[in-house]
Amino acid sequence: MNLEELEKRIDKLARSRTPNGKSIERFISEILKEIVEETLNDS
Amino acid sequence: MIAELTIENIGGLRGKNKYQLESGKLNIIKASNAGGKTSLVRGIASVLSIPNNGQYDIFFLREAQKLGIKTDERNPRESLVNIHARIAKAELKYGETFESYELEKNGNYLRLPSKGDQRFLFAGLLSGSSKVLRQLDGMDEENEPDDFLWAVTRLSNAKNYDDISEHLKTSREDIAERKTRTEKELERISSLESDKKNLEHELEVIEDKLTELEPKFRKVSPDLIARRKNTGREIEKQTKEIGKKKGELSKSEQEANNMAGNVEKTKAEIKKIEDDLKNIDLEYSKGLVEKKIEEINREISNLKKARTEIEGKLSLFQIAQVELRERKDEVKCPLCGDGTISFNEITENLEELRKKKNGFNANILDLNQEKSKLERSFVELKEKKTNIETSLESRKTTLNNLMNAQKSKERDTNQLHFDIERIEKKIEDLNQKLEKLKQGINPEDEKINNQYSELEKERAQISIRIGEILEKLKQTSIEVQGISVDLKTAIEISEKSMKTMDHCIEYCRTKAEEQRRKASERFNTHIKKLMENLRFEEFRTVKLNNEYKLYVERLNPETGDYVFQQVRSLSTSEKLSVALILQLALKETYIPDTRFFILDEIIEDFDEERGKEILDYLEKKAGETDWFVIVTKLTEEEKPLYIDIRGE
Repeated sequence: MNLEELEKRIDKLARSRTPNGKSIERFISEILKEIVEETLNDS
Repeated sequence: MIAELTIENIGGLRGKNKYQLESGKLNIIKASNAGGKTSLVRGIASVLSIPNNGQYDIFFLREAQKLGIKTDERNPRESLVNIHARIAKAELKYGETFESYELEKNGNYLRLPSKGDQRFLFAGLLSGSSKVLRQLDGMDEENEPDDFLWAVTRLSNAKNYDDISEHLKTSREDIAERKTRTEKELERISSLESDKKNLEHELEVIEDKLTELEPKFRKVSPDLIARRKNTGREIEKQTKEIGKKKGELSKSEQEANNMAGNVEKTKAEIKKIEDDLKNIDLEYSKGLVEKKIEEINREISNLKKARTEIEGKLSLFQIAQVELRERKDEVKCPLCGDGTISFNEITENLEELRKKKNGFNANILDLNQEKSKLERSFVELKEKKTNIETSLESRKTTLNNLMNAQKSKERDTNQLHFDIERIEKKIEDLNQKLEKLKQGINPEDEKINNQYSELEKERAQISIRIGEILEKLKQTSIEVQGISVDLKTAIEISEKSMKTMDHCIEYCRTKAEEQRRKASERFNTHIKKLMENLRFEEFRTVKLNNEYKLYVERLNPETGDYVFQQVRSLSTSEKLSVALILQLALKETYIPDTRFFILDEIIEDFDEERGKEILDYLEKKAGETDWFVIVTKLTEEEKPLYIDIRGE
């Protein structure tokens, strides 16, 4: 996972005036799903 | 630029009222006591601060309630909406901007502004109830007088990074827990793998022995052997099948047990939830809360009456003070009208009355806080009940699903029992057939035959055990983010995820701290500029230190030196001066593009000279920034509220 890209995504989320619990959970879920897919593709 | 302001049925301002405000100027709202000044301010503050989804975040909601901006649905008498009206409206139109806020007494909104910024409550408005002044006065429930961490966190983006970080930490904990579980499972499987390897080795040895024995066994009776061998193979096949079925049965029974456990657990949970629900008597609690609130309201009303009386006296003395300053001699006592009174006596009286007023304000604030607590506790109770009811519904659905699944599992288990019984019968028949075949063989042949049979039996048993292990190994995948993966991959994913979460958590921590530092630096820069312009000579330094605590250096009149002064030990008027500086700095730091800045019932609390200096500065500031600067001012004039516009 490209960490620089990830940091940009965190910044974007933090810049939205008030990120609520749901949008943060959605963001984390997306990240975790990408890690799963990346791992499966690499193996 | 002119702003058209419409205030309809807000607080004490009944009916539709239209006003004009001018940017770049000082807009002085003038009215007598209870003339609607604060209602007008609440109208402006609400339309500028309510978010476009109509919901303040909890931190801001509490402030909105303290400032009387947010309607409290359970206590309409304290709402933003006028007591005799059903709907209130605040509209602001300037340049291309048109913002409108319209709400009902019960808190439902009919129209919302599009650009409301809830930070305005903390940064754009200073009144006796504002957070900054409450805090400096030591009357804030959450923060010590010098603790301004909230300002650099809540008003900057730091809070958002903190929130993201908290969620990341929770996710990381879940992932770490999953990894531990997966590792344990993998350990169990490793032992199964090793058992399988040993069994396979044993099987090889048996196969070798069988191959070695095969030529002798073949001589016994080729036909008999062929039939016997086929029967043996069939027995082996059926034995394997029975092993497989038994494996499935054991799994199925285990699952059925788990389901039964879950059914019992869910039933117990439902019972507990139902008991909890019985213990919540909302009607009773509501009655108690309402009764208590009514008592508090009565007390507040009495205090307000007493405060109004004091304010009346204050106005009379303030007028007398102005009069005396011009005439430089004694004037008639403003209270009794008889006798005369000197400048010093008036000043003493003013000081005494201000103290009393502050005392009333403090008591009213305490009572309002107590009321908010009661209301919050009732809302929490109501929410708790709703949550419990939702949880009960969800548990009942779960129970239903579990019981259906349990029934289906019971059917599967019965079918497996039936299959096993059928295969056992078949094996029994085959064994009988084998016995009959063995009878046609001589003793020497029988010995070889027995040896061969034993080996075959052993081979069959090992095959069954290998079959069982293979069945167990098949059940060892795990679901990660909705995708089924093997255990080793799951561990790899967990490790990568934790590493990524760690990176994100650290990034959020650094960014939050960076946001706080930057906000603090900007805040201090604005304070410094304000100090230069306002020239409050009793202070040399006012700033936030590295721990975001307020640091003040004040003039010691005895030595003429500036020394560090605890915020809590500043005098009332010094706190007021610091509050004004901080409020202006908050405005410039966090909402520089918002064009409104309001001081409500603040100027009167400064002594006249300083009050005038501040008004002059605000007028200059308005001119420089083109802001709409709004201040309220108490007058003795017998006319309705009006706005006096000052400036070039």
